[in-house]
Amino acid sequence: MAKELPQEKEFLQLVKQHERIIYKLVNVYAVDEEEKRDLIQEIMYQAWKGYAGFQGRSAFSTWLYRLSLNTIFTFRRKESRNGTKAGAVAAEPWQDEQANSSLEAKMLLKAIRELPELDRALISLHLDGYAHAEIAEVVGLTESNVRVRVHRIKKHLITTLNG
Amino acid sequence: MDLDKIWGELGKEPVAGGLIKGQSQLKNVKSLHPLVDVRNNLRITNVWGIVISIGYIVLMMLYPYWQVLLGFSVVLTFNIVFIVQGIKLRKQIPRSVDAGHSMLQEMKMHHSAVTKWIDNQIYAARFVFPVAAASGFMMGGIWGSGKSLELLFTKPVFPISMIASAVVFSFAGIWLARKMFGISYKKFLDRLKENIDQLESQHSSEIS
Repeated sequence: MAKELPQEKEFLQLVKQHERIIYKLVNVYAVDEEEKRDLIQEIMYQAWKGYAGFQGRSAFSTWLYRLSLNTIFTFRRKESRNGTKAGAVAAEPWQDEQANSSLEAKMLLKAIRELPELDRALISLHLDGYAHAEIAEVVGLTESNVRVRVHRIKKHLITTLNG
Repeated sequence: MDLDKIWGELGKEPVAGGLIKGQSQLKNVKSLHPLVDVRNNLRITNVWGIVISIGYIVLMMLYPYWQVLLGFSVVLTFNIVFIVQGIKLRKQIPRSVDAGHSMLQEMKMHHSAVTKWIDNQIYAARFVFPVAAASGFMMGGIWGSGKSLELLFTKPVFPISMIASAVVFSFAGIWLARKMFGISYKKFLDRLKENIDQLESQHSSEIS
């Protein structure tokens, strides 16, 4: 087996520590296993390629979050797997995923997947504790715009989950 | 309902076999990203462009008729221009996704890079296909009949067929190229454009 170089070891450890970011985002944007595998592989590839340029100006988790979102939004998904578009998830086996999560969590994931792609990014960032100003910087919107949109999305999700 | 708390439950389980775990896996991971595709395609196109240019020079030496020389000189000039443009474009395209950009900046950059590359290829085809088809027709005529080009041009059927085949091959080639780009990239570019427009329209609605 090849010996791990310090930088590779450090990178793999850091990614392992923050793997939930990748799993959550991949689950929000991909439905079938093959697409999820492709996305995880692509995020890992891009993260490893970009790791040399990571200068620690932000937390690694923030850097990985931004890189994952930028990768997901610029990745070419195959037509046959385009089940992640809004309104196209009715027949997905979402109940089988996240087996150890509560029904509420599974329903939240399903409701988020039904949102438009950009709204999914906004709500994921918000629910992961990012401030409106940070979300605005990550996405490329103004802070006030983010505030209004996040409020609307949350309201919509609560109505959907309660309905 | 506490959405944050419910959200916190997600992502605990590995997805699709989990992450890449070791150095050996990390070394072997291949990118399926469109930008990597474009960079690889540009490299291949540039190498082929150089090989084809050398081929043109060889053909010009083998068939030193002024019509063939003129046709291939024009194609060769265009070819060199497109090779230089291809090298410049490849240099502009980053090797990986940039976490320092906002999603909007990154999507715009990717959209522009892929669109530029497609435009570059179609533009090249518009110039190269007709001249290449006509030059190829003349060369084929000489090689197939064993007659000189001057002799072939004395019969009106030869120039008419040459123009007709150049027109048909050029249109068919450009149509096919557009079709292939459409199959490979249209949905990807449309999705990027849709997301870019959504973000930009929110900016402009706030300003107004």
